[in-house]
Amino acid sequence: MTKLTLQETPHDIWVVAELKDGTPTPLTLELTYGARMAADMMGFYVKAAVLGSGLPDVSGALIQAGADRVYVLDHPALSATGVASHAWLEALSDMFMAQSPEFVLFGATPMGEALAPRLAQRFGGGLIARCLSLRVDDFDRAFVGKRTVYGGEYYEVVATSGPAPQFATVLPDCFGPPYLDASRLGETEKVEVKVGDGSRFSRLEVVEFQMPRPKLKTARRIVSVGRQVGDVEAAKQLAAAIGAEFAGAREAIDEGYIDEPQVVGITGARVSPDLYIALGIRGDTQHAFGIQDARFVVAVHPDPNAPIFKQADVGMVGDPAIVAEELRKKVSLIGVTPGR
Amino acid sequence: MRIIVCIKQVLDPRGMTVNRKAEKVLVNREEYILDPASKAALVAAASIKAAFAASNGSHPPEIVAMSLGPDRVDDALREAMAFGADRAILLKDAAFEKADAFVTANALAAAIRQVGDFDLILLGARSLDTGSGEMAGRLVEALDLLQIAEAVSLETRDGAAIAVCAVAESFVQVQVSLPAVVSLAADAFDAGHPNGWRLMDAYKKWSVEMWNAGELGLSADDLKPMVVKKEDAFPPERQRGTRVTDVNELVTLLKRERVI
Repeated sequence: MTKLTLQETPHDIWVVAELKDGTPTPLTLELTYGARMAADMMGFYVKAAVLGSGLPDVSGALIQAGADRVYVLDHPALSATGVASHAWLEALSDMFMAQSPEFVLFGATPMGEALAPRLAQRFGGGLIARCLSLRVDDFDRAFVGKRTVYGGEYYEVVATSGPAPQFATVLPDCFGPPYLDASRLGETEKVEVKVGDGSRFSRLEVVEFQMPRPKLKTARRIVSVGRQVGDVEAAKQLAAAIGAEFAGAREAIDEGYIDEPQVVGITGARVSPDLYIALGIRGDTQHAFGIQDARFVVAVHPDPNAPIFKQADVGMVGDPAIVAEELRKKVSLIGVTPGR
Repeated sequence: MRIIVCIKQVLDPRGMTVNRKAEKVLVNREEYILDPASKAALVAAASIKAAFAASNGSHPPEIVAMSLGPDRVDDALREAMAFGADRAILLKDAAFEKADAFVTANALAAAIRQVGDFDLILLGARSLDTGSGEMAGRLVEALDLLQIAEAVSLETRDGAAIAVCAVAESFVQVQVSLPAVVSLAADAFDAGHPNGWRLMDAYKKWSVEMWNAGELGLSADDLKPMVVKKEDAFPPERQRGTRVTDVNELVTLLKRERVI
């Protein structure tokens, strides 16, 4: 694809919406709200693009979150997602060509991460991937975003530059919870989608392949139990609520809480998740070895002198089952960032 | 058949300490290593070559390793040769000094076109340092090819690349006819160390080709970086063994560390 050059000066800030179960995802609303804040400062319009097939009317929610105009691209070819997202790419590329966006926000989701680099290259623009925080600089007319380096050891602040469209993929919790204003007004416009026959992509075939993903070693979050967990069901429910793998120290096998493949430690798996929650694990050397690459370790144990508290980033003395239950409730209230 | 592997060299994080309190990155030992994901790409290329040798074909695939950067990247390219690359090309120019993903993709694409006659372009899906994972998408656009992202296994059969990649909860097998771009996940390949004899040969007998921006025919527009680094920033300081007394505090900490 040769590089595309926009006909007019780019203007306005765009959000590419993603839907789940017929409603915009929380991340989409947050992005729309973030775009609104930038737009108020810069005097932009906020425009949202909704793509899909047989779309329900979601413009109301997007306008409440801050969109001035919602563009609806409804076409059977746009139903396919995942590996076959090229119809989205072509539809967005055509629309951006016609509309000349200056700033484009994507969620840092598989879809956003697949589309943003390609559109950025196509329009010769910059991209800040996986922003933890993002703002539009009013002086430079540029995105200034913070992204992680070395898996979150530290951050770096980078800025894009114009005049080509500027892109960013944004992680959740970047702009904070959206303020939904029911009195806000906006317009909705249907955009005609011209999707080719897709013959160019027929060379790409997808064969479903059922196999569980590798578990512990690559898990981003792990909830792990030991002898003192009390109620193992509470731990399992917590794991399900935060999208974590369920594991345990070797001692948990004796209690029948876990099976052999779920053991973390010298004689089990050596794990490196972003978050490791140890519930009722005392923290002997055998287990400590297994978690030394974990980025953030949370320990809950009834004994204040348990060695696990020295290994953990955060410790809490208490009944693990009760803490797990409370944590699950709290987290289901405020929502979790989907893991990587 | 020709396989082009684009590799990246990164600063070894083991020689580095991040002092969050002083807001400084201290580089105790400035050593550069081949990025693990790039290593995975090299191993994947070598395994395709090995599979070809096992089937007694007449024209074994040629593996070309390519990277953009200063002189020190020479080491990474020689390591790539030890991992099985037949040719190594370093794109080095003063104009690349501030190269971002856009400039890098333009330069790599131009170099790939100049090498020409390629069937497969491999690269790491996410590098160890910035890990933004945008290079594959950018190369796909610049070369107008099809792409498989974050593959965990790769083989070629009858002019097609067959890869398995993780999508949501399960694995999906994807097949694409060549030429194509495939990015590889770092953790799917156990790369280990390169062959020692080959590593010695890489330094004693073989050489790395140097190409500059002029030879690649890049315009000023292609060389203008679109993303500029402003500064480092640091997460709030954390200390092993912090105690909390209630769950609200715990959740606040987890959110602040961005782990849930």
